[in-house]
Amino acid sequence: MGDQLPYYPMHDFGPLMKGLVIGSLGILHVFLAQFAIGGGFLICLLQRRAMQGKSPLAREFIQKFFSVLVLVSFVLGAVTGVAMWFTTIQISPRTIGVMVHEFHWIWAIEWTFFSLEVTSGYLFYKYSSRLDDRSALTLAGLYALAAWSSLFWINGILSWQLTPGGWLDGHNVWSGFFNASFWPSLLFRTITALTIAGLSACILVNAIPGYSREDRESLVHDCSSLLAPMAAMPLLGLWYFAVIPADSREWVMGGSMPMTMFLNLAVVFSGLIGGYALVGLIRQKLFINGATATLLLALAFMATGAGEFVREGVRKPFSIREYLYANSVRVDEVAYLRREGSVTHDPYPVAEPKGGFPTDQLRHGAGVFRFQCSVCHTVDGTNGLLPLVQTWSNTQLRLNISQLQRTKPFMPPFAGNAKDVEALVQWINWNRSDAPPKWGISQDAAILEEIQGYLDEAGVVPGSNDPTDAQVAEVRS
Amino acid sequence: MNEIPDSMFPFGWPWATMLYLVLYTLTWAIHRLLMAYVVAGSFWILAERILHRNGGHLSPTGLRIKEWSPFFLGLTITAGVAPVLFVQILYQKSFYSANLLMFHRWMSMLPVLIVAFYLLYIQKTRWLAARPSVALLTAAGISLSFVFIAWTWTENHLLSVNPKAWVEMYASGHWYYRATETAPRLAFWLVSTAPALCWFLLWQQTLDRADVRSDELDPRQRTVALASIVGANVFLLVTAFVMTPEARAPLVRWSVAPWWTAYAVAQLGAAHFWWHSTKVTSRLVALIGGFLALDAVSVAALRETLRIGRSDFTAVLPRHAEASQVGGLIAFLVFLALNTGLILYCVRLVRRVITQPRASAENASTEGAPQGHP
Repeated sequence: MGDQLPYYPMHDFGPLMKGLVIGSLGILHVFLAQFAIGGGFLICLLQRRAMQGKSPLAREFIQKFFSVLVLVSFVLGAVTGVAMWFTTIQISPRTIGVMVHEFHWIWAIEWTFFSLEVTSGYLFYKYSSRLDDRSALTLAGLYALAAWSSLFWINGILSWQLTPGGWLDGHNVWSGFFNASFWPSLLFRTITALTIAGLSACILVNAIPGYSREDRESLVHDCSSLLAPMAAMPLLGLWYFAVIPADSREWVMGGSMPMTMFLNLAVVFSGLIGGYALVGLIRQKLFINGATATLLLALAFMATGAGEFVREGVRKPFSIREYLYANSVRVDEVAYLRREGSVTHDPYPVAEPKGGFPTDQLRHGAGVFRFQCSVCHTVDGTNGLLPLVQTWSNTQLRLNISQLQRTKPFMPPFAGNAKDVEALVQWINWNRSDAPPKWGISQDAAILEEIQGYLDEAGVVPGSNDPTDAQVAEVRS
Repeated sequence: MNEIPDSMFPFGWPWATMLYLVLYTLTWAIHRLLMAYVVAGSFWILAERILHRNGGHLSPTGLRIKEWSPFFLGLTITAGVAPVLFVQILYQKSFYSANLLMFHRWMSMLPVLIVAFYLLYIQKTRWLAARPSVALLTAAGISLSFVFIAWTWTENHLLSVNPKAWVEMYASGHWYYRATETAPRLAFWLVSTAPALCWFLLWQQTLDRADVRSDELDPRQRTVALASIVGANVFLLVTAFVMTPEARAPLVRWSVAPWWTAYAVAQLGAAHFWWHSTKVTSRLVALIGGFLALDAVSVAALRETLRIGRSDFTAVLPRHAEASQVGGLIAFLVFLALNTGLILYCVRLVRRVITQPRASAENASTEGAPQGHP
């Protein structure tokens, strides 16, 4: 197994938590991509209304809306999509490696839809004003279908990360793809896409010069009809939370305050938008000006951000549920690393601090931090390790690190041996002593034996799974 | 290093490896062809801006490139998704390691690409057309951005095939990988984009006859195509010359001869027709297009032959076999056929509009952007 465990030249992101980097980019990309998806449906709707003679301004507005969509989504959306891949490689090459390995044909299918989306979209943008209505609607329809299909395919991969379900037994790609959270997630995202497109269109209606108040009211009413499906969001949300793992549900139901808070924010923001849309815009046919539409779109962005934060967060301690931990260690590799040590075969030297590490043990500890902790923790920046353990004594450090999954159930089990634990403890102590030039080596056999006892007691199973006595005995043996 | 089967690429490997090699090679070749329009086109416009900076106006060819470059960049990025996907199956560890080692340098390619994309749109505005100095700066910015991106990919590729350099580079903290091969290799890729641009322009000319004064072949296209065919081959020879004999060895085997022959036929055939043709005809477009396709595929095959010979390829064969066991191939082929058909249907839908004479302001304007379009 040692030969197969890949070590990569991982970098330190300084005070920025790696998860924040990928999270921020992900939220931006999701928002832009959903704008493009909802935009396709909006264009079809407006084109249809124009053909029925119900919206005389629709044709002209479609051109302007699509110009914005091309500028925003076809550029930023496309490049941030590629950026997601490259950023994930920077943060967790193993996670993206597994995802690509298992779902490369799904991604390849998505690519065929990307190609259709870009071609039909650009041709519509460039020639729709010169095409007959039916042909223009056909192009718009193909664009909308292709854009939504790209969501369909990527949604299967993203939802699989949290609820891999039957995939865990035999790695059947379709069992993983059509997983328990696939449908609620897909429908929820589709409605989000419609909402984002509808609100964006309302901003544009107000920003285009030359329209009368009646013109704007008519277009706002057409565009805001995309917000009506938001009425289904609470049900879809409940469906989603019903199918995710019980421990993930517990995080957002009070088990983890940040998770609970972000979920509440997402619900409140969505509720505000939905309430305004359903009561004001649709039932009472209220007008919405540019400032209000912008505010609602900002709320939608924050709701998307909070929702994505929760979606990512509830997977903890996994990046692929029951298969791969967030720190890129596979569930079945923990026992091996407990014996072998986590960085024994890591060829990449750690970055030396100014003046160098006083001992090899500290260098070892820095390597353990890089391998096991750095994907979620910085040293003393965002979610910094030093502030988190500030008040812990040496005994607490040894116990809590050895039994990480018991210390916090959303932490993975420690994937290293007793020497790794002690090296990490010494590295933490050295850092919180302001990195002095001289430092002793801790190699007391009694301490290592004590740590080994802690490790054995906690076992190698995740904290969410109660270790049985048999499992503990197996590890000890 | 590994033992390469003494058979023509991609044969001689297990079927799973061959499948991924073929898919990677073909999608990469398509990506490269589309990219050629944008990269060579940016240099064409820059050259026109420099040569005609007092007048400030682009030629009809320059206008056409300016008009279509954002579309082609969109297609290029989309087409690029597939080879980036398959390279992760074929060479996962080396590709990821090179990405990681280049760190910020590698990632900075993305904001640069976004800037270049927006500059392509800004380049289309009337505001810019009225300001020759700003237009020149914009054109230079676009070209430099593409050179930076091409340079980054070239370094990344060379770093990925040299695992011996990884630990040292990581320890040094450098984000740049210096190799004597980088400059000539980069020059080859950049210069070799021009013939593809010239072919796309021919094709567009036959589609959009109303936009051209006649069916005469623009002599500048001929000159650029011929000069770049010669130039690219000079850089190819320089690249081969600076490589170590061990690195070059995979390309000097009898089993590679068919691909070298295909490459030579493609180069000579295209050069022959560029040299002798004076009229733009559908036949000429088809002939040069055929040679261009042969060139794209043969270059891609030679590139992969070289990479395979330089990396520990046999070590990753089991990964290919495992990946091929994953379901979804049939579904991919079905959707590939379906969506290819739909793309062709979309083109057919607008084709009659494209071939109609255009009376819009597009061509009458000084710089060509239709009113209301960004």
